[in-house]
Amino acid sequence: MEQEQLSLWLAVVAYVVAGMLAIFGVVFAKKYDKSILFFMSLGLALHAVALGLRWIRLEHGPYLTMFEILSSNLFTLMLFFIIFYWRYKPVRPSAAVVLPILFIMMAWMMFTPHDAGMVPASFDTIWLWIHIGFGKVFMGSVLVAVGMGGVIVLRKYHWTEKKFANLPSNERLDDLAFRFMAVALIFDSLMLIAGALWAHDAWGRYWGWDPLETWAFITWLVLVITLHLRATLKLNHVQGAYLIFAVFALGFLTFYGVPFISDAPHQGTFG
Amino acid sequence: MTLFSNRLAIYSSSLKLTLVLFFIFGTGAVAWHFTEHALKDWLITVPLLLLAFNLMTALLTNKVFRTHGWLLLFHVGLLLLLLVIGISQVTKLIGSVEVTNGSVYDQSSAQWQQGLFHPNRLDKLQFKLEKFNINYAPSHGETVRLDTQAYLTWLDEEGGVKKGIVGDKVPLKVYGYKLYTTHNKGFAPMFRWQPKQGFSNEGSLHFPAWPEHEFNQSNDLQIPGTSYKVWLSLKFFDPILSTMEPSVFRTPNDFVLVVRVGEQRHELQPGDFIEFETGRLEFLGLNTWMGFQIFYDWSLPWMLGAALLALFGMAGHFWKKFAPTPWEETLKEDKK
Ligand code: HEM
Repeated sequence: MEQEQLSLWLAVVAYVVAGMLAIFGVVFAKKYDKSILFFMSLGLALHAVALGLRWIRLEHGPYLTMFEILSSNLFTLMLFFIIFYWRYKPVRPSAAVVLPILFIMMAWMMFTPHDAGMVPASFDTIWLWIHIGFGKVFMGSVLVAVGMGGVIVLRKYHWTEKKFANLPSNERLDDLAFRFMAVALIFDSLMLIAGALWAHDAWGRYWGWDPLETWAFITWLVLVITLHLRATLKLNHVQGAYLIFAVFALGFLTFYGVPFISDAPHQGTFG
Repeated sequence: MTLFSNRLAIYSSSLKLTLVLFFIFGTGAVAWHFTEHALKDWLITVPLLLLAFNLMTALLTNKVFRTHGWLLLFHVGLLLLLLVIGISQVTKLIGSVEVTNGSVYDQSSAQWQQGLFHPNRLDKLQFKLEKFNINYAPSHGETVRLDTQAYLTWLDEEGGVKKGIVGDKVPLKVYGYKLYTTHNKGFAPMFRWQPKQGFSNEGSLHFPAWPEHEFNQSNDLQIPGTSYKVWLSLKFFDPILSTMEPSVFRTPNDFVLVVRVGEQRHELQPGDFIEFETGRLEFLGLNTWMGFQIFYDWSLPWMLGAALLALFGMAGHFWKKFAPTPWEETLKEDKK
């Protein structure tokens, strides 16, 4: 229990160090790439230890309580971002946008009660993993796109204009961001399909418009609208960026907001 | 006329219309939550129908689809998906029924909603609920429901007798219907009505679901073949579920059945009875009932197929579209 807490705290510290370095790097035009990658990976390893210890202690994965959902999502978002950071060198400074967003999740996670929950019968299935796995790739892709959208928007302002001078042009960033949005759509669709199959398996119906399902659907629809808008109305890059933010915000609310206000991940798990 | 139909084709296949319809669809889905109106499903159905029409005309007229095979495949998949959803909506059934422990299913107590073209065969179902278990576990001073097993005997479509255990995730499958156990269950007092003349009659009354309606364990009983109506209420004093250790749903050991006949109040134990002018009502004991959900929907595998086809097309489309990697050039410039 104490080791678990300790490694979680150390992980958060490492993440925060990486984030601060990313921000300093942009502000003072320094290259801390290697250190940032190191601290992010260190944080990830410590975080894995914390998750693993908890898993062993409670004998179920991190998907029941708000704390567990936040923690495991932070982990997968970080993992996704680290891979992106490592592979897409020219856009690394977008870490200065992405990591502070993750800080919010970290703070929220640390202030959420770390209690344990009970596994409902409907969670004892492979669908859980497929459904959640797709969802994580979806959010990871949107997060990466948000990083690039953030750079595009920040460039609008005089005081930050030069800070991102070394990055590719807005056009390129927009292009790359929307590739990640395309990946996001594919995985969001897969998540909905897997979710529907799971719901069918667990509750005999594949779609019931419960609050979580409705919000997940709205998120999917806004993502589709975003891609259609971009293809038909020739949006400029800043407008594209705002749409990316909208999808992220909706996705975030769906994942963390709706389970927060209703009693169970889905209403079907009641009683 | 041709001018008119051309115009119609242009407008109805417009991508701007698609955007508007998407928006209406989303609004409809949210609005669906805030109304209980009998026609609320149209909030979702109408936008979907319009989208399907929009998509169909676009597939026929938009040149983009002629040059982009993957995009075409993707949108054809979507159209198929909409089609399957449409057909499944008009042929499906969703319903529920409560069955007393140890008794047979009775269609007259089932409730359901069905699509316009559903071939209803609920009257053909024959099964008996032999017994059921619902397991609970303690959690933070409360209880959590775990798995349910209902032991059933039923007749299959050929009239053969079958036995099996169904539950939350394993339904009884007959005549295309699937019956799942639910969290709805409760107590059921059993009675025998012995008229002064004629044959006796046994039956049970279902109290509202427990523990959902824990504080409203009462109901009216209309004694069959008479004009007598009595009010019943169950009071019990031992906790059914434990917050300390694993437990199962069961009838209480320490209870009374309160019966009100007009102004008179009786408290009955099993074996007690009340005399009426034309007969006697005997309380035989306390039993339980289980609520089942009934589904009829054949569309799932087809929907899955259409969705996967669409997804495959979408993946192909994006793969092709995003094959070039222009930002890599910045990297090369960086290195120079
Ligand atoms: C119902 C769900 C729908 C989804 C999920 C969907 C999704 C998409 C996606 C992801 C693209 C690719 C955009 C890109 O390349 O960046 C696209 C393009 C397109 N969609 Fe849809 N679509 C849907 C319905 C429709 C409908 C109803 C129409 C009918 C007009 C339509 C017509 C088109 C056309 C013509 C394109 C090509 C646009 C272009 O690249 O210029 N779509 N759609």
